[in-house]
This record gives sequence, structure tokens and C-alpha cells, in this order.
Amino acid sequence: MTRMKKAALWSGVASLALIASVGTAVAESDLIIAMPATNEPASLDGHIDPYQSTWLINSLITDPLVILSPDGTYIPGLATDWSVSDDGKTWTFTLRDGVTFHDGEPFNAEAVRANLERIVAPETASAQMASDIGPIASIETDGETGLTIIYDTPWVTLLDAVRRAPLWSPAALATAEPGDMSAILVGTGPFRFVDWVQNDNITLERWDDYAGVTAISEAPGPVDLDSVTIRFIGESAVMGEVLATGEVNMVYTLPPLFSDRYVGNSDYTLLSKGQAGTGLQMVMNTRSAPLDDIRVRQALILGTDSAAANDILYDGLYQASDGPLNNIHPCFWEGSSDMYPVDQERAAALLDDAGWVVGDGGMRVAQGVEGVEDGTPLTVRYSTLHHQEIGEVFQAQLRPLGIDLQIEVVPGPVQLDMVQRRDFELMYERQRSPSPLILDQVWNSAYDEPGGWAWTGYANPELDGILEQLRAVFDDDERCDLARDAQQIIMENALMLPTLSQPIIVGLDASVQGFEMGAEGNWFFLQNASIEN
Amino acid sequence: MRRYVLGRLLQLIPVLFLVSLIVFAVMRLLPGDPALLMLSGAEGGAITPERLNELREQMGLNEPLAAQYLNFVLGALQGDLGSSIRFQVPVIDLILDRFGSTFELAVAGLFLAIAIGMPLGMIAAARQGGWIDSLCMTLSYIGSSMPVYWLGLLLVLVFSFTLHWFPSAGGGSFEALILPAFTLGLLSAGVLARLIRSSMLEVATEDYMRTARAKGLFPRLIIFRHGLKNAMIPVLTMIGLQFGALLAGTVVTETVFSRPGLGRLIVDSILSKDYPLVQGAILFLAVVYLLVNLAVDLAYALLDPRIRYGN
Amino acid sequence: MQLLELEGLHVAFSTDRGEAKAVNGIDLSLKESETLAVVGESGSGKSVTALAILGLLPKRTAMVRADALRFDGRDLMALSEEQLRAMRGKDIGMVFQDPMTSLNPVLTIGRQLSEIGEVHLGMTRATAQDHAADLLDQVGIPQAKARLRDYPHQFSGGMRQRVGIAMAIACKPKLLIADEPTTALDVTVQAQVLELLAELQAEMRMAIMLVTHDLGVVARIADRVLVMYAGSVVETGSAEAVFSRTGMPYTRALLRSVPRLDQADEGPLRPIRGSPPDVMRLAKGCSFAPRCDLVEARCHLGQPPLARCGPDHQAACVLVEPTA
Repeated sequence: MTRMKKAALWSGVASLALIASVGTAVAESDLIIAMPATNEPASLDGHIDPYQSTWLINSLITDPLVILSPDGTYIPGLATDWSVSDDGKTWTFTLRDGVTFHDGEPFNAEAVRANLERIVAPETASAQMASDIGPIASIETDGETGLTIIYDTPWVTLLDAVRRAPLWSPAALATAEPGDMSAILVGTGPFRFVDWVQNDNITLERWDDYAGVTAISEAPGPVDLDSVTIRFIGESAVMGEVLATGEVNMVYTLPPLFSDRYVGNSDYTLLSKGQAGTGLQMVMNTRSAPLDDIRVRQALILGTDSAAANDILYDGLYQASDGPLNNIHPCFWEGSSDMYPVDQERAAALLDDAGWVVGDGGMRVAQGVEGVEDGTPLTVRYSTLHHQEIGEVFQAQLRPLGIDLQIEVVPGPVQLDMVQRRDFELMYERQRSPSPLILDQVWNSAYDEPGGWAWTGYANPELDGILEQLRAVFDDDERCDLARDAQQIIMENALMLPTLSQPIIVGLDASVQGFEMGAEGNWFFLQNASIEN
Repeated sequence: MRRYVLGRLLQLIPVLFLVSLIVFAVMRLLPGDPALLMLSGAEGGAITPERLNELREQMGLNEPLAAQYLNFVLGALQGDLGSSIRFQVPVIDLILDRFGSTFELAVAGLFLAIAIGMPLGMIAAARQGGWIDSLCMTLSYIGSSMPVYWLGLLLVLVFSFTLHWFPSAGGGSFEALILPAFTLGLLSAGVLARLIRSSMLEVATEDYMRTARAKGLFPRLIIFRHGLKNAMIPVLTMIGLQFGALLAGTVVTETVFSRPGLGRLIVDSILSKDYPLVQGAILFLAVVYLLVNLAVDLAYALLDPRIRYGN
Repeated sequence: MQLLELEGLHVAFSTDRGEAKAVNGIDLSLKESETLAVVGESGSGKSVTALAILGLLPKRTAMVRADALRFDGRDLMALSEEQLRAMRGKDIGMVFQDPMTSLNPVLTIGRQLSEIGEVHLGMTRATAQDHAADLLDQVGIPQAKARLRDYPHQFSGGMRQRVGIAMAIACKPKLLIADEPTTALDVTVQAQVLELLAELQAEMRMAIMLVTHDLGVVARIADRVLVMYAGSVVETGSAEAVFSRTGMPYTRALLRSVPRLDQADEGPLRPIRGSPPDVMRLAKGCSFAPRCDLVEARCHLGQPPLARCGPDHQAACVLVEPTA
């Protein structure tokens, strides 16, 4: 072969190699997400698992009937239209036409019915979803696209359940062995389920036949991302660094203490959103001393400064939660913030009044307190699952007041055991939901029993009445008004110690575009996401 | 010898019975209810107590304790360890899935422990009293005193975040095994080094070592052929124990390095009171540990001809 | 010409309590094919002497000093450790006291024998194995070839000692040092082992340095005798001279204390009264003085030197009249 021809051959080979490499580089649009290991789903089947992360991951594999958009309104998912009857007992949905599951099965009203029936079936042992779907009396279908769900009692929260409930292919549900993930997780969503290496990662790949017709997608058709890999990280220090090392291009969620590594750095974007709910509240045991006395309870609130704790511990990154609902909750009562401004003097006076006087060494002891032997020190246990550092700041703040706040970190089983035995003073209890019904869960004395979430032992018929009404009212504004009344009563009686609210921080590197957070920090959308190098 | 092995294997059965009984009892005595625990992490709407009871019924938690235990034992004898409450998947599948990773980590850790600890101890013994001896023993003390969690994080910080030599999380690849293996191995290495050193020093004072010197054998021959085999006898016990400890104690390393493994599985399942999973996994570990012990005992017979079983 | 010449050997051990002088300046010599018995009680320094010759004392704790140490014309003190190693087991063989602990329990007898041939005689594995079988034969162990595969614990005490001897003579050394080779054995077996040693010596024209506290053994095979007490030589000479014209009261007392079959029922045993001195605190004067029946005032003046009391006979006692 002549020199010239050889040169031509080599340059040809070289250019082919170059094109191939560029081609593959362009083709690789893989999103790698780091999630904390505590977020790992249990069975990955949103019908069974009661975990937000399960529903979130399911939403990548299958579209729901309705979607809660980033601005907090419900927009069409696989249902184009819906309505509820005036008595709250009949829900009607109009479904989209022409959508199929990953396995080719058609998406229709029968498919939805099969899913709903599976959720409420006893064999499924659905922990949460069955509760959220509610006591369905009957389901009717009308052709491919008409669906009616009928209840015996009004059920106003169906949309919140349905936006999370995954819809799987009925063929898959019928034939899959229980526990065989890949067989069940056949949905209508933008990504197909590939593999789940437990405690390690979940991999999804793009479904090329995705219709992309829900209201969240900016354009129809398959999405931009080639694949999504979710890696579960066991150690928070590693979570803080793993974005910087380039091992992942998204961190969900970033521990707040590591955010200064990324803030102000143009290579990364940080998004922060709160979650509506109760915040990291500490409920009080009003059944026995010392917290059976409202003066002591009020003194605790007056003596603690959450804003200072926020600055000291989290550089101000955590969010305010001044009452039984946190400040970003749609039904938050503003009065919570003003009722107990930090006031050590007033707190001291209340304690003196209540019979807890300053003894030797500066700590308070009982003197003439009913049911308490004179000389008993004022010790209050602060029992929590995590975020004990907040308690530690409070401990330092309360010491000058003469209160001995004892911090104890307890695991889940111990927390529930202590609650059942009513053996606690301050107990961590967090609920996360934009619905004010969480107030009913926590403060309605009807739920003061095993399995219930009302732990304080406080019973007030007026409060109970308001909370019960919450369930019956449909109108959002009316519900919020009722919720505010409830919060006022709770605050006036000083039944809980507000602390802070934990935001969700998401870190993205500059290559990730089109990522959208949900209405709350605990949701996001990838339909419009892409990776630009 | 065959009869001896058979006898030892049969002995497993009463031991396993006892283990299963203890685990069953302890798990029932600990506070917490699996159904309640499952729901307490939940973020949906309110759970009514009726719903809770329904769930407990569905999970089989309302049956009398004796029936639950009997079901478990009968199932276990047939190789069926039941289904996990939390994962809804057969327990044996979960265990086997994670065990590979834990076993891999324990073996790698043990390998490093021997590869680092043995030479360290032998050099220290050979240079007894000198600065090398002091250096080796200092290293071994440091190695065996470091908390696993701290060492793991330190290794991640240096070799992963700063130098980018190894991944910081995950369990799939060989590279991902190196840092966790070192975390476990360095600790064991420290323990082994000290033991090998003292064992070799003891052996050095034995008469047969003097005979070997009197025969004019090369020093290396004396150490390796005459000394090492004898010195290894107590060390073998320690290796067996260390391996058992590694198998059971990988949970911290698995958490720091985000590796799947049996350790994490067990801890998580204890916290969520997943009875079948805890029972099955602990029983499994007990079997593995007993088999490792048996292997160690049989290895003695290989090392020391004075020990022969069954005759 | 002397095969082995040792002059002015001092050995001291550093212990927690200070320095312990085990050997205090002794002289020793041995001709080819000669059998020298080094005799003394425990603590007399006789084993230490034997180990010192081969350089087998622990280097960390033992301080060894000698004016001269020559073997077969070579100055052992000028040799490097490697050169010494090459001599051990080849030119000088050693047999130890306790056959149970002197053999490595985890190696076969065959291995422990064949390695000598491999290291010193350059043999291949196979040749060395055959050599090992021959050696076992030579020391009178039946079924030699089969027994190569056995381990020490499968042999009786006497057999083990034979193996030890086999190891020591494997390279036909010129000198065999035996440190109390029969002490740990039954009386009947003792006789067999001694006979074996005598046979081997005759066959191989080997010199034997036999360290022992048992005078019965000495009587059987020794040509010459060296008596040690408290780290010093107190009497030395031909066996005949030392036994029949004993010069040193200690030697006499030793001889007297040995029970004899032909003197059975002649009364109680006659041990030497008192006990050997503490080498850490040696008194001035004759070290045996506290226990001697014939002690006089001048015994306490100083350690008596070895004085000639016959043509091939010396004793360290003030009572010895030096003969011409």
C-alpha cells in the first residue's frame, strides 16, 4: 500500500473513531441521583409501601391520574377531568385515550379499577395507601375513559391520595409473583424499571414509546434523559461530598450543613423547598408533672429561642415552625409566631408561680407542687429520633432558668413504646402533609389509643369538635379557617414545643437542566429534564 | 475423621434451636410493633386503630406466640424462613442477596488483615527489642484501637474525596471493595500482628528451635519451617474468631460506604421489628459462624499432627 | 593436637536482679576420638559451657567472653555468624536433654532429618530422604523408611533420643556435644543410648563431649573428666585418676553420694549437705567451702587455683599437694 493510501486509511479510521466517540458522548444523557439510604423504599410497590420516596420513584415509572404541580394546584395526569359530588361521596374521572403501559396493555378505566381494588384488598396489606384511598363502596366504569368512585361517607381527600397512587399494568399485576419487582413495575411513565440492587442503587431507562401527554410534560413523546440511576448513600458526610466529586450529578437531599460547599459556586445549583406539616414539633405529656401545669409548659416555650438555634446550628438554613403547623403550611395561623416571644423573665415568673423555685446550684425544685414531693428537681426529658442538636441548644438556653432539659435519642420502636406507656415529657412527633387534617390526627383525643397519633393526653371537646369538622368540610378556605381556630386553642394551652422545620435541599451540577421541584420539597419531576455537557 | 465432622454437623441442630428460641423471645420482648413502626415512618393521612389492627392481622401478628414460633421452626426445617414483613419477599432471598456482599467484604478484610498483620508481627518478632519492633507494635496498637466509623470516614475523606482514587459509595465493583476492606482489615491486622509476634516469640524459646539452630539450618528456614507452623496454632483461633466478628460486624462499614450487606439488613430489620427477617438472618449467621468454627477446628488437625479426630 | 581448645570462658547473664555469672573463667580441651565428661550439679554452668561453644546462648541476655576458642585449628571467635552456622550440625553436632521438646512436633521425623542433608550436604530431596532412612537404621530404629513419615509424638522417649542422635551425626561431625542425653530416659533405655553413642564413636572416630550430672554414665564411657562447681572447674583429669585418686572433696562427695547396687542396704543415701551457691552472690574464698567436710580457715582466703596432683590430673583445693 502506498504511503498516501496508508495515510488516508489511518485518517479515515481516526475520524470514524472520533465520530463514534462524539456520537456516544452525545447519546449518554444519564442522570445519577444520590439519595439517603433511609429513603430507600421497602418493596418499591407504592400500593404497599407507606413511604414518600416509594411514591416519588414510582412516579418516574408510571403516571398518576392527577399531578400536584409545582405551584400547588392539581393538573391533569392520565385523567383529563374530574369532579366530586356536593355530598362528597361520588368522584368522577375522565381518563385519557390512547395511552398504553410499557408492556403494550391499554390504559383504561378497567385498569384503574384493577389498581384501586388491589390497593384496598386485604392480601395486599397496604399500610398507608389503602387508608388514603378511603372506604370505597363501589367503582363503576363507563367505556374506556369513564370512571366513577363511590363512597358511603364523604371522602374529600381523594385527590391527595390519587396523585401518589401508582397505576400498574393489570396484566403485570395478574401474572407477577409476589415480590418480583421487575414483573410488577410496569407503568405508563417516562422510564422503565431496569434493576434494583438493594441498599445500593435503582436503575431506570428511558421508555421510547412514552406518550408524554400529561400536563407536566412540555412536549409530547419520550423524554430527553437516557437513564436515571438512584444511588443510596448510607452516610451523611458522603452525601455532602458526593456531588463535588462528580460521582453523581444530583443530590436529593443535601444535608444542610454541607450546603456552603456549593453555595455561590457557578458549577452547581442549589434548590431549597420546605415541606408543609407540623415541623419538628415536640408534643408535651400533659398527664403528669411537671408538664401537667400550663405554666410550666408556657415557661418552656418562652424560655427557648428557635431562631437562635437555627443560626447556631444551621446557619439560618432551616425554616421557621412556630406552632402546631409550620410557617409554610397553607393553613398556618400567624398568631403562633407572636404568642410566646422569647422572654426569660416571664418564664421565670411562671415557674415560681407554679411552685418550682430556684434551689441550690441554680436548678429549680418543687415546693408545694401538687403530686410532687418537695425538693424534686425540675427535669424534663426531650426525647427525639434525630435532630437532637436542637434540643442541646434548648438545654443551654433553659439552664439559666433552672430547668434541667435531658436529651435522649431514641429509635423508632422505643419512641412508640414510651408513648404507649405514657412515659415521656417532650416527645418528637412530625407529620408532613399540606393538608390540615394532620391536626386532627395529632390533637383529636379520639386518637389517644394504640396506633393513634394523639399523645399528649389533652382532651378538649371544643377542640375535638373543630377537628372533626375538618374532615367534613370540602372547601379549602373553610378548612384553613377551622385549622387556624384549632391552632389557636392548641397554642393557648401550650400543648407542644415548636422548634424548626427541616427544608429539603437539592443540589444539581451545572449539566442538569429542566429539573423541577414539586409543590413541596418531597417531590420532583424529570419529564423535562436533560443533561447538557 | 468423617464421623467427627458428621458429629459436629449434627451438633448444629440443638444449637440452632436454642439460637432461634432466644432470638424469637428477645424480639418479642423488645418494645415496638412492626405494623405501628411501618406506619410511623409514613407520610400520608391518618391511620385509624381499626386500620392498624387490620394490618396486624394481615401480617400474622395476632396469632398466639407459640403458634408463631412453631410455624417458624417448622418452616425453617424445610428451608422456608418465611416472608419479610417490610419487604414482602421471602426471607431467604433477601439474606442470600445481601450475604454475598457481606461475605465478600469479610473475606477481603480478612485477607488484608493477614497480609498486613502477619508480616508486621513477624518482623517485630524477628527484630525484638529494636526500633522496628516498637514501630510495628505502635502501628498495631493504633490499628486495633481506631473506631471503625472514624477510620472509614477518614479513608473516604482522603482517598475518595481528596485523591479521587476510589468511589465513596456503592458495592458493585472491585474498586468499591478496597476502602471498606481496608477499614475492616486494618483493625484486624493490628490484633493479628500482636498475636503473631507474641506467638513467635514464645515459639522462639522452645527447645526445638534451639535444636534447629544447632543443626545449622538457615535462619529463614528456622523461622518459616520450624517456627511459623507452630506459631500459627493460636493465631488460627484468632483468625477464626476475627472472621466471625467481621461477618457480624460489617454493619458500620456497610453504612459508611453505602454497601448492601447483611449487617445493615439485620440492623434495619431489628429497628422495624421485622420478626421473620431478624429470626432468619440471625439463624443464618449462626450457621455460618458455626461452620467457620468447624473449619478452624479441622484446620488445627492440618497444622498440628498431634490432633487427630475420631481415633 | 587438640581438637577443641577453650581457654578462659566467661559467661554472664543479665537478669532483672543484676548480672549472674554462670561460668567463671574455665579451660577445657578435647582430643580427636576422645570422650570428655563434663560433670556437675545443676547450676554448675556445665550446660552453659556446652551451648557457649556452639554460640547457641540467647544473644540478648548472654554475654560470652573467652580468651581462646579453637576447633580443628580454626578460631571460632573470629568466625561470622554465617560461618558458624555452616559448622553447626556439620562439623560439630549437638544432642539435647529432653527428646520430647527438642523435636519439632509438627514436622515429620523424615523432614527434620532430611533438611540437614539438604542444607549441609547439598543433597536433593530424594537423596536426603534416603540418607535419613540410613541414619535411622544406624541408630537402631526399625522400619526406618516407613517411620520417616511419622511425627515425634508417635515415638517412645528412647526412640526420640535416638532420632536426636541421628540428627546430630548426620554429617559425620568430628565432635558431638551431648547435653545430658540420658537424663530424661528410663534406666534401661539409658544404657542402650550410651551403648549407641559408644558404637557410633568407634565407627566414626568422633570426639564426644558429654555433659552430665550422673557419675554412673561417666564411669561407663568417659576417657577424661572435668568437674565443675559454681561456674568454675574444680577437678579435671583422666577418668581413672579422678575416680581412684580423687583430689577435690566435692568430687569425693559426689562419688560418695551415688547409690550403688552392690552397696544396697548399707544405710541411708548420703547427699552433699547444703545446696549449690547462688551465682549472683558468690562469696570470697572457695565456693565449696560452706559445704565441705574438710574445710579449713585458709579455704576462705580465696578461690584455690587448679593445682597439679598427678600426670594428667588437677584439682582446685588447698589440700592438694602439688606433685612434681
